[in-house]
Amino acid sequence: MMQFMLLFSRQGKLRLQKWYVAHPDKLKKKITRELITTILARKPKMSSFLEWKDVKVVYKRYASLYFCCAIVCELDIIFNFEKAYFILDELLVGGEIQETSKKNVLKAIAAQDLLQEEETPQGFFEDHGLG
Amino acid sequence: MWSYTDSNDISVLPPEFNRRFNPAFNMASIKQAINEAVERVRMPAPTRLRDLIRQIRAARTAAEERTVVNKECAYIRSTFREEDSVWRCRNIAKLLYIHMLGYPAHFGQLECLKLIASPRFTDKRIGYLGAMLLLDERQDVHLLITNCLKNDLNSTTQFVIGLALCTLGAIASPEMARDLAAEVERLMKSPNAYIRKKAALCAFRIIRRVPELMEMFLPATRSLLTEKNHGVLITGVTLITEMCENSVDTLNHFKKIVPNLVRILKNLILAGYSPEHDVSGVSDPFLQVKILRLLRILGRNDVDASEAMNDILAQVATNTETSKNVGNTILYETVLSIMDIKSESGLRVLAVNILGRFLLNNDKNIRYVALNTLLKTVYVDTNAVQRHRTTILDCLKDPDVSIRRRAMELSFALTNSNNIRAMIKELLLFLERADPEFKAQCSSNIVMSAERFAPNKRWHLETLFKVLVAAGNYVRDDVVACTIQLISETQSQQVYAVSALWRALEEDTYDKQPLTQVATWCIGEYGDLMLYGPHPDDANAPVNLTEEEVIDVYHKLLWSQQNSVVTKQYALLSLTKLSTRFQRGNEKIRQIIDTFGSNLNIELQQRGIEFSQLFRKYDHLRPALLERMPPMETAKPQANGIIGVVNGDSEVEEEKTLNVEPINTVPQSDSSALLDLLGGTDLSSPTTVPTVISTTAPISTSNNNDLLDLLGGLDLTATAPVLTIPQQQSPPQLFSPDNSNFLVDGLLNSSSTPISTVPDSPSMTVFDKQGLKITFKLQRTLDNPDLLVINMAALNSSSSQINDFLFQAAVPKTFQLHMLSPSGTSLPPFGQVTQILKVNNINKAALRMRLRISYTGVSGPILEQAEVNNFPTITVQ
Repeated sequence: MMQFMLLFSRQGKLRLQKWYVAHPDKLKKKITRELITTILARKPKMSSFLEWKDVKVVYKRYASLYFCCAIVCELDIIFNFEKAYFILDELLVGGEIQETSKKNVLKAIAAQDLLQEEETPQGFFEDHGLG
Repeated sequence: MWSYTDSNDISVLPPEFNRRFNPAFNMASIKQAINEAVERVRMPAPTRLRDLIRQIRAARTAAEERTVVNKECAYIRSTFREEDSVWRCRNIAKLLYIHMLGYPAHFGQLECLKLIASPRFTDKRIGYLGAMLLLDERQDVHLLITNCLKNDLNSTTQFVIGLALCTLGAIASPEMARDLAAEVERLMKSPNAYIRKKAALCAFRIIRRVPELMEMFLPATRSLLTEKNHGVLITGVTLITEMCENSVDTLNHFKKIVPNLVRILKNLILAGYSPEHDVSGVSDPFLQVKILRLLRILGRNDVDASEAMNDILAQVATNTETSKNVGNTILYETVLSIMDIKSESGLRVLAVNILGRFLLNNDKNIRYVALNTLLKTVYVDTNAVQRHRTTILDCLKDPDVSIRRRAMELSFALTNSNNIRAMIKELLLFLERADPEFKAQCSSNIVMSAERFAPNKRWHLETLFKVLVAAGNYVRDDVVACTIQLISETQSQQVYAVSALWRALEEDTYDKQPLTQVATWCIGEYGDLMLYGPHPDDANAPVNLTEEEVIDVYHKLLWSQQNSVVTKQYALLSLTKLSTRFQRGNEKIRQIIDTFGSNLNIELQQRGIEFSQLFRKYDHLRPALLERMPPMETAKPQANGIIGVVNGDSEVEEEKTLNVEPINTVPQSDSSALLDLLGGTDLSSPTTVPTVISTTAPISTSNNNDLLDLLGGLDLTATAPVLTIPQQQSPPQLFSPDNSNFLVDGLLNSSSTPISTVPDSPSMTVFDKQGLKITFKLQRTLDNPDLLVINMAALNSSSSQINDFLFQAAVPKTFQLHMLSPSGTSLPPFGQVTQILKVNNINKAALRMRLRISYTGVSGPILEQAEVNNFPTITVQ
């Protein structure tokens, strides 16, 4: 089972975090900070595995982001961070994979976005939603 | 009921759905919209989420960012206070972004719950997201969220149910798991695949938290595998895997699904291109990997099940495309499965060849994986792995720390008496350059290997000295003890040892305290050999050394700020001994020792005063007191026995592997008391109790054959039921008990990660008779949920002495028991002995334990037996 998942930029900024085991906030922050420093210090040619404390960490860098899934642009994630979470929740539940078809994931997301739009009258969405 | 069951068609919303959520058709919603419009006029709209993100990104300094965030947080707090429901959703979204930047956001927890309770989907979506991010299972608000979840699990909208299931999967606590298990079980039978797959993973999480709840999910789980939808299949396989690891009964129950799994895997391979689940030409690698893992569990130690999956494994191993990384993932899992089950020998050869190819791959990740896998298979087929030795040694020089670590562990596993010289040479080079984090483990392992396979004493000593130099202060204490022991028992090499160590001592040694300790001990004992003995056969030996030079070096050692107190203690004692070894006056020695009579450190002061008495009042006793110690007997026949058995030379090992099969048929002629003890445990079927006497008899020592025999089974047969360390008289103080533990430790767990323990349970009394009380204190480890650490404490509450106390334990063969050395063997009145037991509960079954306690009391030898089967549930997870 996956214990947590982090997404951070090359500058060490956290962009997304998902924890599947319960830790106090302080510990989460400590783990995040230490892991980011360790991974950023590793050279690009090194393997994607890191045995850190008692967990095995697998990481991957895409463009300026360290992540394990292809996402086009860092800005997309910064400005739509909640959408990134929604997609992740359609992919993983409780630290285990639940859907292997990209098409199905996107379909579920689209349907839920539509649901959100439907409940807000036309024109109101921009003002009314998250904006 | 859901108006549509086909999850592939979720783009069209049902009509009643629109009626419900589209305000244009709903009076209540129109009212709400009007109210909200009024609200908006009354209160200005808050900053939009995207605008806030832009503002924060525009901040040029950290202080500026803090100002923006603090201002926004203050505003958000005020809206929370005013119970503003219109903008709650937006405010929480902003708060979540702020939380991600590392600012405190706990004050949003209750607001998240309010969002979840709202009928709007947007509110629920953000509310649940917030709940997953801001709450964890420690929070008291769980009762509230349990009610919300219960409502939403009964919703008619699949996505609302989906949100609730996803949240439950992420943050379920044991209480939540109990309260909502029935709902989840109902949803697992839903006709909607979207809900079914999420419910299956929720069940997975629930079982993880509360294993007793497994039973109720069994019927619904079985039908998950008949599904076509890959999401349901993969979650079903995950759930079954968890259940099988949970209990042996369930594992046997699911043995019958092997043909189903084989069929699904076959379909995946043969189906050809399917765009939906294709990853670089491989059809749903995720599902394939999950199935391969489950097959591994089902086929382990089961000839029939292994037979049933043999063909498909061969097919996967030969047909998988390796030009892409995805294919390698599947091959890796296949290799592990082949090695784990009772597969045919041809298939095993195929698997080892695949690993060889991995090892030569340029991709760092694949090499890492190959090293990892070889480490797992090295005990199954040592010769196959030996072929890759050169490549593995090359990996010791890899810039990547992950690869170096694996290569180091593997190198030690491959070391035997044939290659010891070459291997240790490479490993010493590695030790010199290694990062501090490696030095302790590497040096102890070199010492262990040298002890086992040293071709001669001289080489052994040289190696130990090199380790002490290369690893410096990172050397563990056991190495110091080992080295001193070896020098003491090897009289022929003492001249060499003392001169070699003298040379080392002349260098700067503040960063090599263990070396200094060994050197001072050795010079103290054999200083006369160095000064007046025969010239050692060593070109670099010191010539014409005088007593004054030696004393000067000691002077430097004793007054250096950089030497530890322990080192100075060694040096002080050594110097005192030298006073009887030297032929000329020892006035200078006496002066040095006298000055320590007023040392600030109490340990040194005590020694200073005591030793100076030896020069005055008890001067006549001094030569006799400080006489050369007799050669220390090898203090660990049991430890040597273990090593010899478990990890002999490659050829010997091979023979043993051949012997593994017939072992079970050897009649139990010589069966020991402990085996009897175990035979009586009804959990282990008597037919499979392995007696391994045939293979180990020549090696084990005479005094406790039975225990050694049991130990001998440890690595030869995976089903060895009991592992105990014989408790003899504790050896002289030089042999640290840690050492033997470490030896066994290293064999049992290839990675000796420090155990981080969580105190979980109060102590339990397992035995209380005639003034002897034995209690267990249980601890679970965070990093290995299967491992239970039992701290045994035996307390003598009588007023008489207890001697020869021996505590033995046996567990059913589904467990691995590992006992560390006890703190002692005798209990004075009201004294106690402690011992640590480690139980590895691989199959997660209920733990039972048989105890045998023997000791000599006032009335003579006593033998007691007891059974413990009331272990609290935390031990079974």
